Amino acid sequence: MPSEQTGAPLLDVRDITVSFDGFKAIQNLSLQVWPGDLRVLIGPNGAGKSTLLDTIIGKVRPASGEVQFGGEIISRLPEYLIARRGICRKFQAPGVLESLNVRDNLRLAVRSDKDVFASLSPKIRPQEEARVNELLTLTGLTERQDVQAGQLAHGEKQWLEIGMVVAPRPRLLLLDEPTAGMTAQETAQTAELIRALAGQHAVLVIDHDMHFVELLAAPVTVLHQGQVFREGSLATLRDDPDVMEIYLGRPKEAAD
Amino acid sequence: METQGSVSHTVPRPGRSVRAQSVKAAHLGKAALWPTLVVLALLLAPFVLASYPLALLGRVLALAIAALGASVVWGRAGILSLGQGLFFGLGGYALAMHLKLAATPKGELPDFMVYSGINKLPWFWQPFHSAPFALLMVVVLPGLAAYLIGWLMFRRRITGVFVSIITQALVLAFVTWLGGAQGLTSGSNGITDFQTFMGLNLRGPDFSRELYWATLLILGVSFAGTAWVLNTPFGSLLTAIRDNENRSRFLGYNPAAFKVAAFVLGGVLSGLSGALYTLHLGTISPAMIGVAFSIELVVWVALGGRASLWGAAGGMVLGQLAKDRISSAAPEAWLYIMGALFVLVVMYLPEGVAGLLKSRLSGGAGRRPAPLPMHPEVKDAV
Repeated sequence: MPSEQTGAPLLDVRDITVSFDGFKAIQNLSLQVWPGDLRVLIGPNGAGKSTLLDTIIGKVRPASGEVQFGGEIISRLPEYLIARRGICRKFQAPGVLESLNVRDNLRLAVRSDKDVFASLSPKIRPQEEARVNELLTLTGLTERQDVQAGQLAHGEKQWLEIGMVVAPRPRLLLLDEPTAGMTAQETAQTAELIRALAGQHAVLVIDHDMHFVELLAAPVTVLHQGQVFREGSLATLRDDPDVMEIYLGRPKEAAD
Repeated sequence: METQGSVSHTVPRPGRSVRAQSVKAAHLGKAALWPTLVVLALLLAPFVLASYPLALLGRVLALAIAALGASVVWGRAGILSLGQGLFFGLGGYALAMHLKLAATPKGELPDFMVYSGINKLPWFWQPFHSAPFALLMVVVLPGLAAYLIGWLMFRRRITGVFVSIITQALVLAFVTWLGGAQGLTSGSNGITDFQTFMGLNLRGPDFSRELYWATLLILGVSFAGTAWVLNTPFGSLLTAIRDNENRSRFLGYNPAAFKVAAFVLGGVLSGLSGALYTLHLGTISPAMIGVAFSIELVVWVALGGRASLWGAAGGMVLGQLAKDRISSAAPEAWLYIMGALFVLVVMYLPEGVAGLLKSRLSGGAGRRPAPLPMHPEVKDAV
């Protein structure tokens, strides 16, 4: 389904299995994402969507199989090094730095030198500061830049975190339910933002909200019981009785 | 929660109104008044105070350096260490070993070793003949110990109460070993009977005043250095990691490295404090650096306000001065008073007295909550 399958994939998840105390959250799953792709992952609860993202960013290690990113095996690297390779994830619950103001949240996200000793230099590169301003505009938070992140409204926190994960210009963005708790209008704006981001970044989105998925107008991968169940456009998947069945738990005949 | 140090002030922020800047300047002017008065009072103290109060003040100022360390480790990085006495003790013993050797006639062994039947100076005592080496060890030993302990804990992602338990156990193990190793450390009696330090007579009439100046200078430099460090992006990152370790990690920062660095800074400040305190008291013993000391440090820092350097240092100074007064008047009541104060602070003043003053200063006599985007200068200046 990816728009262009020429060249090497950016993300290559190869036959991974993840098990928690014997329970296989992901079984022999393979998935490729090409540079600039926008891809949506859906699936019922427990399908392994979040576990897949956890595995890509190194929070969970696969029992077998491997994850390649830009041709390099990353599934053995510590998490912070995976992040530095250019994978950024937005978590389901807003993960902003509550006691810092909006601007400092973005500054820390933008910084290119992430070592302890480098952080002791108070200088900020002008291009990094310009990037912060750009992100404030992108997320509509320019007026709120001096507000402590903990004081933001829920939707604003979600946007700030999107700004933070976009900040270092990662090659791959993982967005875990980015519109959770947002109003219909905010959801539409977020869909627009994500569509604008695709192309510059490859984007992998998890969401439950079918209206939002429709707005993204991107290829959809359905996960079920830790495996890829179907791939296709939302329109074709909607009419697929098997997809209806795993979502609604009805027998095939009844779904028809 | 407090607003922490902004990443930098070197780049002007666009879109800031002139009014906002003049409000900030007014805040600064008001907030700078008290620190100036405190510094002036400390500078004038030797000309005003009699010898006992001056010695007492110098002693508690030495302890305030350890409080700065606790403010970094606990207030900023969110690591509640109940074992800062370990680093305090390492700094103190490093200097005490040199002072003891300096007070021992050439070719002889320190008196306590003779009593314990030791007939050769242990290898690790040898280099402490050198004063520069001992001074170096005052910061290197606690720094190294903090590095090793921090690295082992934070790399394994040990957090919260487990860190408190481990650090408490380590300080307990350390004082137990010190107390038992009679021939090597003078055991529970501690090391005492010092005479000279780098040519200065520790028992001379001018020494207590000289020591006061030295303490004030080291405290001032430690304070300024710590404030500077916390105002760099490093300080913001400690806050970030405390707030949300995962978010920081998945932005590409290694939280363990930052926590170890904060722990080392806290350890070094404790070591400096311990060495100065040893000079002030003319002795160091396991009882001075153990569990009780480590917990008392946390209590005073909490009372003053752990998130602010002024709060932490001020809490330590005032707490120790009160202890000197109250515990000599009513020794049996002292522990209860201290415990009650701690409970009250934890329940009603999570940011300590500094947090209370901060909201008073900026919020118009507590009519409404403080405006949230506080500037670090204002916060630290309370």
